[in-house]
This record gives sequence, structure tokens and C-alpha cells, in this order.
Amino acid sequence: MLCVIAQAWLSYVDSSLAFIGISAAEITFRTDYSTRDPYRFALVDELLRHPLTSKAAVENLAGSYWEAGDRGVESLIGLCGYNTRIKPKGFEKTLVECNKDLSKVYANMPDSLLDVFEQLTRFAPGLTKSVEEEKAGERRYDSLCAYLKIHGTAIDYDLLFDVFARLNYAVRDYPKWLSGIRLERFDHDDIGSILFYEQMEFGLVVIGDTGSNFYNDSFALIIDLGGDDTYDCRPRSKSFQIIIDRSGDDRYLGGDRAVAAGVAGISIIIDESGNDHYQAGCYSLGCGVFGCGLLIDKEGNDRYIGDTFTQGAGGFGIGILHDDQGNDVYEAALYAQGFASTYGIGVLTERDGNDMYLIQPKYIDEIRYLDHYLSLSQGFTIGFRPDLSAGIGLIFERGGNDYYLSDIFGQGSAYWYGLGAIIDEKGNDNYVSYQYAQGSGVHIAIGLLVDLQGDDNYVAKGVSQGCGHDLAFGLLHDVQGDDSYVVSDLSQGAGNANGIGFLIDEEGDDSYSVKRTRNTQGYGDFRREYGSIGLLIDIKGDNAFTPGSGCGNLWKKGEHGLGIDWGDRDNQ
Amino acid sequence: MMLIVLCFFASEHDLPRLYDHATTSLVQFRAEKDNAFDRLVYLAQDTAYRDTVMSFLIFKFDTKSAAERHALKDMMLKIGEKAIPYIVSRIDYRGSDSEDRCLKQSLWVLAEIGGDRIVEPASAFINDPSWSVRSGAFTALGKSKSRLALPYILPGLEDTIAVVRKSAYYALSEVASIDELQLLINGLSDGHYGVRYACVKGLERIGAAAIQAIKAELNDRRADKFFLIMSLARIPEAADDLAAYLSDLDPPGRYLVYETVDDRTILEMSAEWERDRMLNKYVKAKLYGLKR
Repeated sequence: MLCVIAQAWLSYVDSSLAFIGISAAEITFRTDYSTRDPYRFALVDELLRHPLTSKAAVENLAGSYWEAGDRGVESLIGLCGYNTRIKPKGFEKTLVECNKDLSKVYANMPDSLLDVFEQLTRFAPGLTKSVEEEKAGERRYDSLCAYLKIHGTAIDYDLLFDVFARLNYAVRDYPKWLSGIRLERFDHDDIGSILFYEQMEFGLVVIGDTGSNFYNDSFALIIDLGGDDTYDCRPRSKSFQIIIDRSGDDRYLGGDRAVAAGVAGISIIIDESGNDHYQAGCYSLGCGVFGCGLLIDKEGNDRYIGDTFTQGAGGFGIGILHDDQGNDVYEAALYAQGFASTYGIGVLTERDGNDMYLIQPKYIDEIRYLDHYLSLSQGFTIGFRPDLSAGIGLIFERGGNDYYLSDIFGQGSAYWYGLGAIIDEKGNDNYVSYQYAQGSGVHIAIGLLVDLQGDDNYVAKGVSQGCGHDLAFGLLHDVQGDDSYVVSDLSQGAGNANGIGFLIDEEGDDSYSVKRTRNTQGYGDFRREYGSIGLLIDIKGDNAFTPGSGCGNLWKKGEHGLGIDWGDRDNQ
Repeated sequence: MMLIVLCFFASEHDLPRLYDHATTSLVQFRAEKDNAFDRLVYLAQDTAYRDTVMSFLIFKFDTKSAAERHALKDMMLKIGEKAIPYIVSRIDYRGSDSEDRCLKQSLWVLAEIGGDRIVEPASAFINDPSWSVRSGAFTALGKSKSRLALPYILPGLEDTIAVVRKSAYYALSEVASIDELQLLINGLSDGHYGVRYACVKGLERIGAAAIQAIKAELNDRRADKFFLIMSLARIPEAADDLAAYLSDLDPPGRYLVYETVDDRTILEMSAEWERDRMLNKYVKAKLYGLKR
């Protein structure tokens, strides 16, 4: 169904482009504006060459993920170019093997690699005090990037992702393993009432009873059978940790590198039910940095609070946060909620419920504004320009009336050879951001916001709502519903500096409001001696546009900017 | 004595410090940036300091920072033609890595300065192995707006890389005369829209002298008329001829005509017979606007 819809709109793109004398085949970018670094994803190159396939590609990714059920993680690992080959070997044997394999993964990892990555991805909340401080920071940035470029390959990623897939596969067998273990209830001084506590070949294992327990050691495996529990623990370095909590309103707490934090290791949390509270600092809550982190919450109204690099965030690794049911709240400050850095896959997947995705104002955007904050989140990716490509940051949202809030950079956007996307399938959703958001590609990248159903609101200031800036592709594509789009400038199907930006709305009675009509609603500027391309295409419905935008249902802005309100071509 | 002068210069005009401030990316230092920028430009224009300042700035062309590259370009533009010999003296240095940043910056800055004097240095790179360097060279030749560039531009029209062809055709469009008419008409069928639009611009530049050749081409072709019509539409003297083609054009072609024509009689007739609902609305909206 998704693919059929994806194909139908392309004929309107073809027909619309004809009005500016351009064919769909010309909607393409070169991939060699700079020398290819070893960390760029093949999918990104492919989508830069064929941006119009981006929507179908991301929809197929989402479709594969949801169809695969518990094995959806493997479809995301596939993005890294690896085909995982899982031979089921049972729960305990898999854990033993994975523990050994992880030591091989990190055998050549330099001690300072994590520290370098953290220096590059941590922001100070205050303003830079002087130009000298700024320039010193730039020089440090250059040398850290150079280090990362050289030493980032020291990890055996093939084996890392294979171990991640095997662990993810094995955890489903834990009930069988559990049934074969002799359990005996006793009180542990630190934890509470438990049934099993043993140092096994792959690490320390504890099985908790149905009381309220407290876990704060570097266990390799925790299985808790129920109760309102508190977890404040993290895996040993270059190892794995698996936490399975069957029920109860639980609290998962920690500072940095905690709570499903696969930081030079693998961390998996599966919480099967209850209204849970997840709170940690930076590099947390389904985060993979030179490692893999997976946080799965199956039921309940949950609250996720993190700072930087959190809530489905990956850099040189894979970070996934998956929530099945309940009305959930996600709060973070930066690099969060389906975020990817270089060679990272960061995914936040939400099956159902009315959810809130909030990026709090903490890190001021001193390059652009003194009164706005960097978000760099919500289906977003950024690389280290010009040295290292970005990754793939995604949000797959299946249902519910959702609310997304970010400030600068967010909501299906990407910067420097990466893919950032949100696919929201159902519900009346609100998207609020300020700049570089809502289907915005910036500097040779692909940014997509696709909303399939519902009466949605989109509010932003600029470089948003289907905007491509500097040889990048931005697409905001809304399939159904009576939608409202509000911006100030350079948005709603805008191409800038040889970027390509499309806003496509297929059905519904929609409203399009802008402050500046000159460079919005189908606009392309002229740079590098040729035109950027901007299209606003509304396929069906009774729509309203800001007065002054155009003439009748068809208008041009710049040589390569076009707005078309087709008003159902098939009935013409 | 020389040492004293240098020490005095260094203390009074700390170039690295001025440069850092002139190229800051941070919004809170905007005032310092503007002051430092102006100071560097002033020093570069002073014959006493020019050699030192220009050498320093051109050494910075290798920077990886986009903000610095833009600031350097803006400084060179302010300095103007006096910057050219300094840039040319170092143009063969491609840069410290495989990205050729220094060379690309040199070509970009030369292009922005323009004029006859940049033709020779830019033309040295029209056969460069790097497509982006070739593209920069052709762009610079175009921005020279000099007929001297023509012989160097022509080979680029056949380049296998579309982006390079685009730059070459852009260059042609900037210097074209009636002698290049057919080249521009041929380019209207190129596979890269940048080439086609450049050719439209070139034909617009040639003006009324191009009308007959464009019309002849229109009569010969059964399809692919869009950019020929666009070219005619851009030449004021051809405006009256456009309506004659309406019946032969597809909706995008007819849209070009309606967009250009302001003759109310033609538009009123078109409003009668135009069957494409969207175009019909467009024509009526335009008529309504003309009446107002």
C-alpha cells in the first residue's frame, strides 16, 4: 500500500516539473563534491543520485522494520551493508559466544577514541567568550576529526553488528532458559528479593523476584519478574548488558553512558509492561557509540528524559529506542530522538499512543542566533563537515496524535552526506520548529518528513517544510488530511544554493501561510550559475494560499520555482 | 631598520588576530568581525602593507572553513583587481589535500573579480583532471565577461560531465554574439537543465538577431519546444510572435506563452478556447489582474 501511494504522486511531480522544463531524471546530485570518506552509507549515495526515490526507500525501511517484528533490528543493521547470518544456538550459549566475540570487536580500539568522539559531540551550554576561544575550538575540532577519521575504523563493525543481531535474536529465548534454571528466593542486601545470583561464563547474572528491587551493579544479565524496580547500572566496557523487566512501574536511572547505552559495548533493555520512567544524561536511552544500544518498552505510559546523544542515537554504531504502546513523553536537549552522527544509525520507533517529542532549549545556537537553541534531533543526522559524512537518523511513528517540538535543526532533516527522516503514519500531528526542519536537506544531504494521515499542523520559521539548501534535497510530503502549513521564509517547497526542496500534499483541504511570499511556496534561487529547484505541489482538495503567492493555481518564483495547486487533475 | 618596520607592523596589525576576528562564525562577535574585515581590506589596499597582507590572505585560501572561504572571497572582492596578481602567483598550488581547496578558491575569487585579466590564468585549468576545477575554470571565464575567453570556453561545451558543461555554457552565455547562435540553440536540447537555461540566457543576450533562427528551429521540431519558446519569450521583440505557436504547444509550453503575453485580446481568446482547467484558471486570473 505504501509503495502504491509513493508511485502515484510521482506522475504529478513529472507533470509539474514540465512547467519549468525539467525532467524527473534531472532531480539528482553528484556524490563526489568532496572525497568520499569510508563512513558514508551506500544508501545515502543512492538517494543523493535519486532523491525522488527517498520517500519510497524510507517507507520500505519502515515497512520492513514493522513487518519483521522482534527482528526489525536486523533490517536496520542491514543499512550498514552487513547481512547478519543468525544460527540459533540457544540463549546461554549465544551469550557466552557474544561475550567472547565482543572482545575481538574491540581488540584494536584505541583508548582515546571514545574521548575524542565525546569531545566532538558535547556542547557547552554557554556562549563562547572570545574569538580566540572560538578559533582554538575550530583547530581542536580539525585535529579531533582527523583522529576520528583514521582510528574510527579500528572497530570490527561487521562482528559488532553480528553480535548485536545475535543478542537481539537470543533474548526472545530467555523464558525457556529461565525455566531450566533452579530458582530459589532469598534476600540480597543491595538488590532486594531475588531468585538467582551467579557469576556465569559471560558475566554476572541476577534474577529478581516480583518485589521492588534495586539494581546498581555491572550485571551482564538482569531478569526481573515483576514489581516496581529501580535500575542504576551500566555494562562493563567492551562487553554487553541485557536487562529484561517483565512488569511494574520501573525507574531506569543513570548519568552519562547509562540506560541502554551501547558505548563501546552493547546494552539492551526490554521492559515488557508498566508505566516506566527512564532518566539519564548524555549517551543514553538507546544509544550506540562504537557499540549498539537497544531500549524496548512494550506497554505503558512512559517518560524518557535524557540530555545529549540519547533516545535512539547512533554514531559509529546503532542506537534504537522502540516503544510499542502508551502515551509517551520524550525529553532531551541535543542529538536525540532518532539521531545519527557519522557511521551511525539512530532510530526511534513508536507503534502507538499519543506521544510528545520535546527538545528542550539548552545549547544556544551562537552561529545563528543568541536567542535560539540547537536541537539537531528528531529524525536528524549531521556529520563532521567537511571530513566525515553523517549517518541515518530516523523516527518511525505508527499511530496517535503526536507533538514534535524542536528549535534549530530537526524533524526530518539532514546535514552533510546523510539521511534524516520521520515517517508518521497516523494521527493528527503537530510539528513545531524554527529553522532547518520539517523535511530540510542541508549541505549535500537528504531530509524527509512524511506524514501519511491526519489533519496536521506544521509551524516553522525558515529553511523548512520541504527545503533543500546547498546541493541537498528536502521533502515534506503529507498524504492525507486537512493540513495547515505556517512559515516565514525560504520554505514550503524551496530550493536554495542549488538545493532541491519539495512540499507535496496529496489530499485534503489545506492552508498554506507564509510571511514572505517572494521565496516560499515553490521557489528556487540562482547560485553557481544555475538554478535551485523548489516545488509546492498540492494534488487534491480545496486549498488556501497566502495572497500574493501566485496567479490562479499555478505560479513561478525564480526560474526554477513552481507552485501548482492541481485541484484533482483526474477530474479536469 | 627592516626589522623595526616588521616589528612595528606585527604589533600594530596583528594579521592572524585580525584574520581570526574577520572570519568569526559567531553572531555575538559580529561587530568585531566587521571592524577586522574592514581593517584587513584597508591594509591590503595600502601600498606599504599590501604585499605582506595579500600573501597572508592568499595563504589562507587552503582553509577548510566555509565561513573563512566566504570572508576571503568578500575581502578579495573589496580589494578588487589589485588582488589578481597575488592570486595568480599562487594559483598553481592546489591545496594541502586532495580536495584542491586552494585552487578552487583562487578560481572562485578570480571569477568574482572578473575582467579580461583573469582569462589567461583561468584558462590554464579548462583541461584539469578534476571536474570541479574545470567547472570553476569555465565559470571564471564566463564571469570575466570577456570575448577573449571564447576560444577557451568552446571545448567545455562537449565535456562529458554535465556540471562542467553547465559552467561552459554559462560562460558562453555571458560572452556570446550572433556567431555563437547555433551553439546556443543546440544547447537547448542538452540533458542538463543548467545548460538549457544558460542557453536561454545566451539567446536573450543576443536578442532580436536570434529570433529567426529560433523560429526556424521551432518550425523544424515536432516536440521539445519548451526552451525555444522560453527563449522567444525572453526577447521582447518576439513577444508578438508567441501566440502563433499556442496551438502547437503542450500545457507547459502554453503556460510560457500566457506568462509572457500581456495582450488582453489574445488572453481573452485563450480564456475561451483553453481546455486545460488549470491554464484556463491561470489565464483568467491574469486577465483579472490586468484589468485591475
